[in-house]
Amino acid sequence: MAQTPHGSFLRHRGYRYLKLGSLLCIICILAYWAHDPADGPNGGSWLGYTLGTIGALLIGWLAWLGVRKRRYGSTMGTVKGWLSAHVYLGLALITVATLHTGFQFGWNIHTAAYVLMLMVILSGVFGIGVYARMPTLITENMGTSDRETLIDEILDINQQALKLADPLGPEVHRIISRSTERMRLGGGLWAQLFGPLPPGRRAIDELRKIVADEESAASAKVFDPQSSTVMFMAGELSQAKKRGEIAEKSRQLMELIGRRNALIVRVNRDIQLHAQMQIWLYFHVPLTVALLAALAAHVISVFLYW
Amino acid sequence: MRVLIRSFQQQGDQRIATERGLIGERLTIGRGTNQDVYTPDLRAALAHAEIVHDRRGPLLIAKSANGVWVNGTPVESAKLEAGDIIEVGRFRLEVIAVGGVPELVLGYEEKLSQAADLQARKASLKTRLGHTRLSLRGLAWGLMLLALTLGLLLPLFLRYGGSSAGDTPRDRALAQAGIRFDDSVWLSGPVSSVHRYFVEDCAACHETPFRQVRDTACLACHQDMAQHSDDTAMLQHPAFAGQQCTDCHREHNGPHSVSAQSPTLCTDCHANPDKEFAAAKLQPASSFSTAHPEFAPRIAAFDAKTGKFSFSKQRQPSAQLRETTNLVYPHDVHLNPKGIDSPEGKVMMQCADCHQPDSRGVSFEPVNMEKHCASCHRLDFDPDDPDRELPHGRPEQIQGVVRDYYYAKALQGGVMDGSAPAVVQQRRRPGETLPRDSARAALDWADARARRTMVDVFERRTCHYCHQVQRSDDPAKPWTVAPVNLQEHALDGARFDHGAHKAQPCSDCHGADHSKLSADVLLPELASCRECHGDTGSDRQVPSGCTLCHAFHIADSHHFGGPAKGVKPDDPVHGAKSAAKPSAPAGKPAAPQGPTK
Repeated sequence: MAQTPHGSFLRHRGYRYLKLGSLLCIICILAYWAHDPADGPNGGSWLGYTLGTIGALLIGWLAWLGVRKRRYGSTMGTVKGWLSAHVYLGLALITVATLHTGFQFGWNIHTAAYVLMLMVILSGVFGIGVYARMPTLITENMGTSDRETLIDEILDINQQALKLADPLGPEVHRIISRSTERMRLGGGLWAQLFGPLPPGRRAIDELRKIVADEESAASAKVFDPQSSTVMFMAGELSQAKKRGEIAEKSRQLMELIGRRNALIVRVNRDIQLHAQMQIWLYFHVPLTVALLAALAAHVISVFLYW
Repeated sequence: MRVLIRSFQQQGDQRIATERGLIGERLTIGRGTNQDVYTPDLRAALAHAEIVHDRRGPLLIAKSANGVWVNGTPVESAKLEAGDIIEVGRFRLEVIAVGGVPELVLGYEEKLSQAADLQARKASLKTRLGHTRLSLRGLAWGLMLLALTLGLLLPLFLRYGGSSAGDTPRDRALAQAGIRFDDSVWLSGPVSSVHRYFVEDCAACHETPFRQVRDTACLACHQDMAQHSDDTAMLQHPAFAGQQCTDCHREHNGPHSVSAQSPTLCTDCHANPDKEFAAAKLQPASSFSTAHPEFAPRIAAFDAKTGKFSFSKQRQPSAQLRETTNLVYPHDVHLNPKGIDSPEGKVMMQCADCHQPDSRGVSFEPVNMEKHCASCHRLDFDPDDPDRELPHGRPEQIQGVVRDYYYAKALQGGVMDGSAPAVVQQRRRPGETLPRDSARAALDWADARARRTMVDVFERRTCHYCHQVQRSDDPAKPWTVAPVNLQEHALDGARFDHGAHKAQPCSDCHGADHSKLSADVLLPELASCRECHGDTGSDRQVPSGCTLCHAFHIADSHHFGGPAKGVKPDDPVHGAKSAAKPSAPAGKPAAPQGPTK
């Protein structure tokens, strides 16, 4: 994962923050191992208070990334450096906070804060995973074009198709008009995350039937042995020609709609990949805010009832 | 049907309306130029829809199989009401009025130009997560408010918002137990089972917010908790003076006891007691398994002059210790596996025949002559009357009983004793009164007989068998029996629960079956305890902290938080002056009380 440009923050400065985070974990584990409080390990021993303070400061600093990354003018380290530290120190926080609990859990605000913290970290780990994987998939899907251009093209094809369909009679127009209206790009949360239904084949199937009908009608009329008069034959011929044109144009329409549908699939795939890449933030950020609130409640309640 | 069509057009800032009236059977709508309402949008069919009028009012009928969008949904036909919106491509028809004159008033407007419509359609696409109803900000606010409300505000309100009634923690806890939502989300861990009954009343212990629990909270219930020592000078040492109850007793760590189990609490001082407390002359103890002093049982010695026992602690292997009991009792004879002679023949005795657990099962009831010995050790004194027995009492009492017995026998006559005077051997007739000199002779014989019996009882047989009997010169008390010291629980510094060791045979710890003397001290050695018990944390032995056997609060007169109960008036520390105010507030808990000597 570290080979992709998006994963490069993990290797920032020769894994400086991975080393720092590991060192923190090792120190905490050793201290916990050596410490033997009279009433068993818990958050209220001197080590418990120390680990709690480190944990709370870490949480505050980790949450500050949300502010720092918006401050483009800040000179306090690069955002890449901050992100690298955010990831590794965030992972080290699991050790610090778990040892702070002394493995005492219950149905209370203290454990709730701990669980929220774990959820924030897990969502962050998920975020690292998708940021490592999704950009490649997005590039594979979109190539050099971008979503805006493709959507413009789709809408343009719809316009073209309607124009092309208009002279081919109300039935073809109805088919194309319906198809343009039923087209789905993106949509609600579910549709974005798991993709909307792919474009149906109904329009193309209906067009194909018309093409088949018109073509058979055109050829049948030409060789109709029952035809008796030349004039009638001439009329029939022009009719047949017209029908052949309808078939030809409908065939073009089919191609147009097919091309459009391929574009819809690509755009929807792009929307889906982006949604999947960003959905973790909808957990990570609100859970962080909830964690800060729960942490405040934890600290206040613990010292209120010291 | 008469229809009024009101067309709106935007010209600069103004919206201009033009009206035209139509009369016909139907109103046609579509992209075809022949339509009554012309909607030039490629998405519309040439003949898109029409409106007819019947008794019930205007009715819209779709002419295209795709249907017509009315109020946001495609329909085949719809009865029109005022306010309905019909959308045809980028054209918008609004039903302004129905049922009057004219029957239908229709607003007509080109919503957007073709280019703008395309832009609007593009803009309405939901292609990003931000376009969905999922809102980062909303989620964050919602979760934060939830956490703050449940985790902080609600418990705060329950703590300070209401007034909890009741005088005792229990009353207040009961009053709070009725509240459905409680502040238990703040509980940092389960409260010990002893304090659980008032768990709802947090303020019972946490008296002042943001201040650690003080001893006053503990002493409100636990008055008269004994200090560790009665030595006032020692109690002023920082190891005691600066200590809080919570240093050893930690709450919210589970339902087990609040007493800390860590041995370091004791060994911090007791590993090297001479360092700080040399005056106490304590043996160092840092580990039960490896560094614990031998037992120092309380041993009795008898002072024959005063006739009293004195007791002293003696730290020696118990095999070398001898304790005066003033009793003859060889355990080995009684526990002989082949049995011991008794009036009923051979009897195999068990320890439990004499040593019966007390009601708590911790120790034993004292051995009792009547209950445990008398069935074999009969106190009979006259071979001619073996069923008659002496009481197990004081020598004077026994003297009286023996004399009375022989007086009565002599006066009754008929004694089969050739050496006795004739008057004693003669049988009496009913109602016969002895002449004075005969009676005198009979009583003299009785006195002599009683004297002989008592010498036999006290000095050769019955009493002499078990007791230390001394002949004295005092005619009122011709014999004295030395007082008996029944060995009791002799380890004063420790508790031992026999009930907890019920599964072990007695002989595992007590070498009674080889003991020939009652002076043997049959306490086990420390090594015998160490066979099973080890330091805390041991996984090969029973992990045994100091408090398994020893107590901390052992002082007799020095108490936490106030003067002791029932102090002696001459007590230098809690003398009459301090005892005069018994309801002194539990003020300075750990500080030593009273003036130092």
